[in-house]
Amino acid sequence: MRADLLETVASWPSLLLVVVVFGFAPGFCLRLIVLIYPRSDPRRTELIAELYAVPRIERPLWVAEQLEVALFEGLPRRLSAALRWFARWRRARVQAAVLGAVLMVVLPLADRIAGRTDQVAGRTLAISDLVLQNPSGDSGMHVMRVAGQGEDQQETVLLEVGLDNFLDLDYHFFEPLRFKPGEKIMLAVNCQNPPPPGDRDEAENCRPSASFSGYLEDPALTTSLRVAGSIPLTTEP
Amino acid sequence: MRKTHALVQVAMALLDNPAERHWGYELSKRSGVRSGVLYPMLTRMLDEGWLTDGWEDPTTIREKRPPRRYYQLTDKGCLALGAVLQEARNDARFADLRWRFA
Repeated sequence: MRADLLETVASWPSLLLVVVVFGFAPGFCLRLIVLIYPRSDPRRTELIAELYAVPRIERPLWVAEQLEVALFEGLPRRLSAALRWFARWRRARVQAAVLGAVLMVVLPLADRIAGRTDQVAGRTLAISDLVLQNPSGDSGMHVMRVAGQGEDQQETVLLEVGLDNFLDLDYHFFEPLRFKPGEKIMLAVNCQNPPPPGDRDEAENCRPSASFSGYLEDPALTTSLRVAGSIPLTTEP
Repeated sequence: MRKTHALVQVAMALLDNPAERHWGYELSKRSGVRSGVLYPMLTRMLDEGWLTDGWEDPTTIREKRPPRRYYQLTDKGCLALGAVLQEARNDARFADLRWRFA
């Protein structure tokens, strides 16, 4: 019986098993285990290098312990790296969508009033009250600009408000904002809402609006014409 | 960092040779802490600034193996782990480790 036992221990299959368990398997398994860590994690190379310091007899158990470390330390890092990547990808996607269809709201005040050209021609528009509304709590920026009437039509930012800061915001200017004839007033909304579920258009997901009141001044006359209106959202590519 | 048996054991192992470089496996053996507990703890110590790490110089390695990562105590780590040991000496939970405090 002792001879059988010795024969079994010293047999080729047993020898092969020893070679696999103590020689090949620890390194192979460890190289698979460290893949759980993110690519840039120094633990990947550290554990492989450390394996050489572990006596062969202890290696199988030591490698098994590393699986535990990798599952509890490496997996959360890998998941967090994946989440960060997904958040970056999603942000980039949203930005691309926003850039592709920036909700550029052009306030064609002059054009709106152009229907009454006889009253508008040569008059200065004075805006005394401005109400900005963001009923859906959208994210992004609200920018009011004025473009000059010169050849360069240089734009000047008059007002810049973060959509996240208000639902209703009203301005009542002690000294009205004055716009000369030919000047173009633009109200831009740069919506940065997360993409809506489904295939809805970005524009549908952004509903800020603005309304104003003021008057048209005529330097030649002492009278002024009261004007008021809402500013519609239109998209500008 | 939560004061545990493992932390006290690792603190003792590190403070045995505060100026030396410590290696993962060697530290695990000297402290008696399983590597499954030790490595996450070393990461937290690095985050706290108690340890710095580095890699062995490949030109000094004679065997055919990759360079190993070492850990070294910082001044902040010496103070923090010293305080951990000081508190552990008077804590009944660590009575079984007292023989190692000497």
